[in-house]
Amino acid sequence: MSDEPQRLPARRDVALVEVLDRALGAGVVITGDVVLTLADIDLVDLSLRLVVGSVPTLRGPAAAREEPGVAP
Amino acid sequence: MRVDADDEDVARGLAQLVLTVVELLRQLMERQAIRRVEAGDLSDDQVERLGLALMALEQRMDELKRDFRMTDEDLNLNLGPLGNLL
Amino acid sequence: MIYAYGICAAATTPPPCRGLGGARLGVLRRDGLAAVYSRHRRLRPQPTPAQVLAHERVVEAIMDDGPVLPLRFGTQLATEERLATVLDERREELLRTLARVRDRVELGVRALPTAPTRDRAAGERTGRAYLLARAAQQRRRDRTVRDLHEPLAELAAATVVRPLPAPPALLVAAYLVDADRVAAFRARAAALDAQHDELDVVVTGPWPPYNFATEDEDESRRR
Repeated sequence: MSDEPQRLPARRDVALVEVLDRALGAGVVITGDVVLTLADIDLVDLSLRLVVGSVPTLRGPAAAREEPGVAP
Repeated sequence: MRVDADDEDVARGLAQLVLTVVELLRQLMERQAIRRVEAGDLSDDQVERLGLALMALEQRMDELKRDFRMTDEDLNLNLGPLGNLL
Repeated sequence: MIYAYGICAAATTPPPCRGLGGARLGVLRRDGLAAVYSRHRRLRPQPTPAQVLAHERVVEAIMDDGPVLPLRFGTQLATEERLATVLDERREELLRTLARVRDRVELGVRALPTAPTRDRAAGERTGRAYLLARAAQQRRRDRTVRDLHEPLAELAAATVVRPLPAPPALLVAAYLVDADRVAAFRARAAALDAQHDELDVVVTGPWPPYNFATEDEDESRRR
């Protein structure tokens, strides 16, 4: 490929919304067990959380702080 | 929800969100209204009232933006270090 | 619980990174197809930036080695067996869509006014005149959108255009582009940007093909 896919978080100029649009609103849905549906109300709730919460600053490939409560 | 931003930032962020959603709905309603007008679905009176209602809505949007001291540019929501929403 | 990230060809190398919560990734292979997943004792996927980005990283890592059908964020199943059943039951469709995205990437395009001032018509004297003025503005906007989208669509195998982009954006669209046409696509987008002083035409990507991963029955999304 002449244009190698660039890994996150190297693309610092990319808006979070681009990832959210895709991961939450598109992609294959393989089961009715999908936890999240993108009903209009979910969008508003999500947007509110983004607006009032903090956005983690990405500094490198290992940067993302995981949310508490996510058990391995 | 963690509230890390200070209160004014939060209020402003919420206002931006609300105004963007309202503007989106206004555009949607306007689109539907125009479609119906062009389809000849509506009486002259209905067209007039619909037009006046949408015009009033646009004026109200302008007032809201003035109240929140927001420009159209401000409605481009900013999500911190990862850039703008739009 | 199993959390799944993407579907790919069985020959694809497992991505070297970790998944949500730092979990190790596994690959389930079924007759030419594979699914990348992680096991969790307890998992509540939340659409936070951190978790969504972790999901995206895995999908992009899969894409490093071959075509991938990204799964929507939040896909959980009880067991690997259930995941295997999905691959079996939807095998033909998955193979078709995987073939469709092979050697292609998704490019996103957003067109925004450089000086975002909304079309105004508040000064009209009657409701009818207001609507007619609005209709004319809308036709102009639609024409601009066509002027942007059609030349780009020519360079794409498939497109998905958002019917009502969030204001002030005029165009929000995804294009499935052959890897060796990405440069030409970017060049054409740059040319369109130059032609339209009043607009910023922004290309993002290459993305994994989220918008082209299903055989969508909703044809209105595609133009």
